[in-house]
Amino acid sequence: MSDIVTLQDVYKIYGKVHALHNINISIASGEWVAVMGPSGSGKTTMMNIIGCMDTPTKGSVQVDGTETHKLNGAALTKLRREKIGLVFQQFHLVPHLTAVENVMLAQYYHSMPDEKEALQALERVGLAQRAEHLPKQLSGGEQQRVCIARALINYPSIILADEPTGNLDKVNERIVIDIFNQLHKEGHTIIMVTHDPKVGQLAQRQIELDHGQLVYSGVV
Amino acid sequence: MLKLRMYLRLLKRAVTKRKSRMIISLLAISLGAAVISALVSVYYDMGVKMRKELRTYGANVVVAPSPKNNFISTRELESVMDTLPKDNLIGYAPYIYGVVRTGDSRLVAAGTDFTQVKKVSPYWHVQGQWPDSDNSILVGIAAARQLGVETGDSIVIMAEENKQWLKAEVTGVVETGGTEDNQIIMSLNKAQHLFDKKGKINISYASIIGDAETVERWTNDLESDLRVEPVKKISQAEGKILERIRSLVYLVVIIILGSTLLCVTTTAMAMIMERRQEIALKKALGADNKSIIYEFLGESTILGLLGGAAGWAIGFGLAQGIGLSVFNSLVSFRWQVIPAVLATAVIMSCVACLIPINKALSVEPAVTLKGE
Repeated sequence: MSDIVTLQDVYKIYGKVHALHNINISIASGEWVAVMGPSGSGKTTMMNIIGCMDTPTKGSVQVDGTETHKLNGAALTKLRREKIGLVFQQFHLVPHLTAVENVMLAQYYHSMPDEKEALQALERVGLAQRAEHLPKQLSGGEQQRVCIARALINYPSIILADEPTGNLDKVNERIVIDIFNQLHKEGHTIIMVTHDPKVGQLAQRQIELDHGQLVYSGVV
Repeated sequence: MLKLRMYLRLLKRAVTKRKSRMIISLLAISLGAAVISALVSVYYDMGVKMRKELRTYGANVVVAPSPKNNFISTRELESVMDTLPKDNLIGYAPYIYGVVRTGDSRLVAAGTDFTQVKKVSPYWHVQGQWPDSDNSILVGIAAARQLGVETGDSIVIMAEENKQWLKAEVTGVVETGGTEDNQIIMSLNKAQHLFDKKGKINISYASIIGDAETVERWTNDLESDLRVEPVKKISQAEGKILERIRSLVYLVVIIILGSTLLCVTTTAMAMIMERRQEIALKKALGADNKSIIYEFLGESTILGLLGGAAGWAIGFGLAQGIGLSVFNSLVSFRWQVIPAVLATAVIMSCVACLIPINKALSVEPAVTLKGE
């Protein structure tokens, strides 16, 4: 399979701190990769660079055929809008919008909002009945599922999930992991940051970072 | 269309689901708009009302005989007054003067139309009653002291020139602060008879509503041998007073706009800080700067329209209060004030959001969503 993400000699330096140091990674299309490592190891920085929310200090980054390190802010936003689906640990739903409206928000910035399609996305994550509920009326697991539905709605090339089960209980963790399994089977590329070795083992490949350096990359 | 519908849906949710912050902004805009609405409503009516009010301070036009004559015929005066716009003419008081003797004293006596005097010079302060017949007179306060008369007394007045005399009852003592305080004032008819000047007057004072330029134009346009001239001191003073009040209104409006702007900006700034995560999320989802600007300007426009509408209604009520307490009459409804107030409120609300919007655009999604 062709590579959908390539990081070559990537550095991210804040003053004297090397958040990322000479990172070289390739991720194939349809691959599920778990990014692991202790706090401060550079996982989030790497995810931000892949997710077009940050740029490297040095090195080159390719996302779905586009060299992102050469792009300006507006072009990065456009690429993120079109290629990336984001799932957050803290869900990050707009509090005054209902579940379906939160999903439609991603459609709105991407192209054209379609309520029917947004409802189908919620149905896919088992939340069709909760479409008109506000985030505060949903449990943590339900909020995370809305977040996944929102990430999927624009058919992104890559799904970036930052600790998607980090704030969930066991039951909801299972539901969310099942959804990711299903997405992987359907051919989605998933890059997931996790602290949990059990969740990490579900991926095809684990990448481990420590002090900004790649210390392990291998098949589970 | 679907995009517009979603945009409106986002605005509606932002306004209706975040009531507490919105209410604070709405209150600030409503209060600002209310004061502006009241001032603008009063401002529109103020010219007319102030001119009417200022007319109570005396005549602003003098009608004098042509240089060749000493007298004006009452018919001539009437025909001149008939040419002036009726709605603007408050009244005109004709006067005839003569020297009279009463007892050992020598005084000026004036004959006038008391009904017209009440209109032209409502500031005359009469202790007692206004004369209601040809045999009753007013005596100026200084003249009354000089003659030793008071209300209810009868005096004999003799015209110095023709020695004709009359006996009249003093019904009131008048104080004007002017030359009338030294005079005896009787009906025009009686004075013309006493001085043997039937149908004649020396001068007439008129009170006309209008600014200095308008009054001057009217008097210049008159085709008459009579000298009809505005009392420039009064006309110009009126103009200056109005100009000063208008400047004051402008100043108050600017201060109100400034303080409202400050209040709304502060609230909007706090709102942006509260919504940093939401903004960061929207950016992470792919919202460009234009989308963020449109959303905040949209919310500001709704706030401006709601605040402006509420402010107009409150302001119109306030204007009625001001009208009743200051001018003793209601302020008229002018539809032009509504779009003016709404536009001002919307502009104010949008301008107040410019700095906060700029702040919103600088939100870094990667940093903010991580909670740093």
